[in-house]
Amino acid sequence: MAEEKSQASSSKMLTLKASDGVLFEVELNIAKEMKTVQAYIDDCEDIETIPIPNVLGKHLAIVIEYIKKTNEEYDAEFEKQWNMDDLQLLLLAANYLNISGLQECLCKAIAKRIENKSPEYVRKVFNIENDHSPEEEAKLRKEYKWAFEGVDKD
Amino acid sequence: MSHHKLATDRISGLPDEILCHILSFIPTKQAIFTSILSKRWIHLWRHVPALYFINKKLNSSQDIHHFNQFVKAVLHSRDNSLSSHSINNLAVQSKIQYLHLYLHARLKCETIPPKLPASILSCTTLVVLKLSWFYVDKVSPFPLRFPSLKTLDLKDMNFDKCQDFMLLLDGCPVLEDLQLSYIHFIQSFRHFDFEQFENSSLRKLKRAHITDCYFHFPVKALANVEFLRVELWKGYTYLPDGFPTFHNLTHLAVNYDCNLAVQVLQHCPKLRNLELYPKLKYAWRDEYITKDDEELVPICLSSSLTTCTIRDFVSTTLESLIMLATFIMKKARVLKTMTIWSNRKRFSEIESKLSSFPRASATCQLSFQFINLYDT
Repeated sequence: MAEEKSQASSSKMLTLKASDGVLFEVELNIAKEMKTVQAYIDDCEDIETIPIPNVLGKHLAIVIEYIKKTNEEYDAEFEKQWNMDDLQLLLLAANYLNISGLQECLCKAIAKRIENKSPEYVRKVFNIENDHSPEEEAKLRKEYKWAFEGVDKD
Repeated sequence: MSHHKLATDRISGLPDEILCHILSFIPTKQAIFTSILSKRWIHLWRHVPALYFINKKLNSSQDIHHFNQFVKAVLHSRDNSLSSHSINNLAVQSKIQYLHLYLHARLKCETIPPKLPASILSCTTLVVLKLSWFYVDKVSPFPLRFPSLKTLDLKDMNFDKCQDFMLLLDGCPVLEDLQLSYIHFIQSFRHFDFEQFENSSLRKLKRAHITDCYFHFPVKALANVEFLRVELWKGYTYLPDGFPTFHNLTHLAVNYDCNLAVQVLQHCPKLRNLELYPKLKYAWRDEYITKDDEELVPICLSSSLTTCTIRDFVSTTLESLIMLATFIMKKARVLKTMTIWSNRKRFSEIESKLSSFPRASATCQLSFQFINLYDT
């Protein structure tokens, strides 16, 4: 019984259910690249549909495609297609699903887009609320004034 | 879920390690001012295990001084409990894993490279170290200097003595990736000064890339590499027992304008991919190839070489390139692709001579890539 199962495992299909109900049928070895899913399978062997409550169908589709196609060339072009909002959501998805290659690719992509930009730009792009008081911010700027030079006027 | 909200701070939903990982890809200077983004970000930059300094405009010793002060200030800021004078402790205490210090003097011949801060050499947590344009004076023997270092990239470095350089390599027991280019020694040396370091083999080394280094690098230390790019220079004294057998080498890139290239092949029994390129601007001669003795044919040619690439150069005579290409095509029994990089002008002559030449391998495909021959 166990032998039969392992022979068939390479073509065994699994269903992943995104947060908006979209279903994806993927091969077991693709799903295993998501360590969170792997842990799920390890816990309950006979599971066929795995819920992915934190990821929209749109992003899960992108993640699955990434796992299937990833290589140096693909990775280099991959990040160019997505806007900052999608990149962040994809990173959240990759982090939740625990896919190290995709996390690395996305971290680099996000870093590239904020490189040499001012803190104001970065705040805007990430929608970070500035909860420093004006005095606190002034103090930090003074403390690191040697770093606040040579940045794109953006 | 907040997918429908227009302006959501999604990035704050990520754990600290991921944010620090993003910060590790941007220059340290910029990482520092993420501290003003919000309260969450105040201390994140201090935990980024990477310091990344690039300064491309060092025009004077004042610039160098300013840069050194900046590095010192960063290291100091990561741990306020240390006094600003004890810089020797700072790098060690900061637990830095990735350090990339790239300096580039505009007029190198007129400026002296700055001295590498000693603290860098005591930074035992380093995993990746990339340095460019520094002077290193004394390196003490310390086999566990960099116990975790996997990648070392040294460019335009001046060492006081060759021993200092070799002792540095000796201190990297788990090194996997080594890149060296333009390494110079202030004090004179003899070529056999390096022999004492041959046994300190870099056992885990997988890739080595050694160019523009005009000294006898102890090649035996590279015996386990899988990928090797090396430039053999005119004054190199080849001794067959000076070269080890490269048991794992599958990809070799070497210059062919030095009559050692084919002899080096004798030491690469499992080679699959060979790249030959010209380095110096004189015609290449290799008398070895005119002999047709079966015994002298390197094993890799008859049994493992599948890919060969030869780069033409504008002042190489076509004759030598064709002789080399035909030698390989004649002896390489499992060759699948022979690619010649040349310009369109010379292409037709090369093609006419090679395309009908008998090939030892039935599956060998000949292909051409066009380049501007002024690019070496």
